[in-house]
Amino acid sequence: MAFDIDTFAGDSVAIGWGDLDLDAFRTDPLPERTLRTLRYMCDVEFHTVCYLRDMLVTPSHTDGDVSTFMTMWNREEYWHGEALAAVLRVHGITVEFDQVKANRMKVGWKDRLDPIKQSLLGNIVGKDFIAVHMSWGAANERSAAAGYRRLIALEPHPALTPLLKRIAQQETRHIAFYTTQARKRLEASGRARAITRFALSRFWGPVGSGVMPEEEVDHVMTHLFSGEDGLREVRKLDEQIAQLPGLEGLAIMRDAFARRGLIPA
Amino acid sequence: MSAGAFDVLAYSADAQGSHRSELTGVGLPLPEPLRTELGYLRSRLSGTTAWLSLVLVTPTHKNARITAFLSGWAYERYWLADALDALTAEVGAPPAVRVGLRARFAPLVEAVLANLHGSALPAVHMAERAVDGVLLDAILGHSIGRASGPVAADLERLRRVLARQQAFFTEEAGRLLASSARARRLSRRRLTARAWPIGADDDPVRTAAVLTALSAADAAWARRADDRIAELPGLAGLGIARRSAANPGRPVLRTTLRPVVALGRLVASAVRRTG
Repeated sequence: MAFDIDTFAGDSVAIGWGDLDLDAFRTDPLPERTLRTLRYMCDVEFHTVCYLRDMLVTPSHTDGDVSTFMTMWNREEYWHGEALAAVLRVHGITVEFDQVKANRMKVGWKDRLDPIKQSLLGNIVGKDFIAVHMSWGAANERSAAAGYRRLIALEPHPALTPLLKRIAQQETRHIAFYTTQARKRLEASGRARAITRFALSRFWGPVGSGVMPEEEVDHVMTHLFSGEDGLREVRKLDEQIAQLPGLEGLAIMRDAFARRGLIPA
Repeated sequence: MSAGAFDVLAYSADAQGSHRSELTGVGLPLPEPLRTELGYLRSRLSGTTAWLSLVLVTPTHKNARITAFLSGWAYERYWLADALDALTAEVGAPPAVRVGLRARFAPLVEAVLANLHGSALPAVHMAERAVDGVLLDAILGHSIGRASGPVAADLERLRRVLARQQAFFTEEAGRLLASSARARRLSRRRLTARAWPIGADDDPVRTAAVLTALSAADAAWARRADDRIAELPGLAGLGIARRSAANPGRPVLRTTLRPVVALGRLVASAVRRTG
């Protein structure tokens, strides 16, 4: 899959929702369970800057294409957060800067040590570490897009569905970048394949884990990925990641769900 | 502390993307000194990820208002650099980023230091950008004076984008510095320990050429820039522009004892925090 970074940058826009009738939520509000999932998604989108930080402390940012992508990606994800916050606002749930800040403050020492850990690893491993980030990003973006697809299926709504489709469409472009980068770097280096396989199989978790409270992670994963249709999405994501060079046979999402006790091991 | 008046949401929604379709000076010949100066500005404007790698490892990344602004800011800077590429007819990839040991380990060192300096760092980072904005504006003003009509009009357009960014950094720095004596002390120390504009230490030869040309054309530029910087709380009398013009590409204040002094300050800071 070819990816043209200049086209991506030129087409990058803040997602819009001005043409959608969000007042439809006043007469047809979303149920509590869905609002809780949307709040999680909103917070995770706002926390993109934390993922950006982890990449910037490694050699990843010195690559021109990666740097351009991260600039556009960070802004697009931020606006995903704002779009979801607009939906929550109609339901009387406000997500202000101070609340996002408060959530980031809660992460505590882990958050302080993460950049140190990432920077050390990045400097020890060198350029091959970029393959880990690109593969990790591919898995994260695929799981986010799968989450949006599942929510569209579970909660058809005249205002929510088009908004989530717009977000999922941008996530698809992010997947294309990460997957192209990951494939290229994994193909080029046996060391990158070994390190990436080790990192993803041992440490990858659903997007938002490590940042959001554990009970919220479990709620969202259960809400979106339980049942036969949900598990089909899990298998699909695992199959796509396992197609990357050196990652054959991995089932990172199924394993992450099993570790959380959400599906049998 | 109350949030500032700058509307971050409106800014981010309205962040300026590609300027290419609006530029009128593309393809016009540029005198070589102007080309050099615009190439230098392009490098300073595009160095966002290197700076963000130092800022986001600190408590600044917890401040959602600042990170929201920075998402639009980095986007705008990308397209400002692209506009300068168009005007100077630069094609292909920009020069490779030099990644020496210092640059590789800088985020690691900053992440460790952040645990000692803590909440004072957002003020430092905002002040850094406010000071940088004053210096870049002086250079850009000089470029506009040298440029022909259409190119000058294009550069004025870019200057307006930078002015809006500067409004945020000035307001945010002013607010954060005014509320903390510790932030003011730390800012004074760190602002004088680095070369200006941001990125100048990796680009000393071009920095010297650009600042020397600026001083030759307008001997008072540094005083005016320092006067603007002095309006920020606690930053009077630093002489950043004047000293940078005298020693381009070098830290504002240099001392062979700096590492020893820095270590002493770190130890004292750690003792204060644990005590």
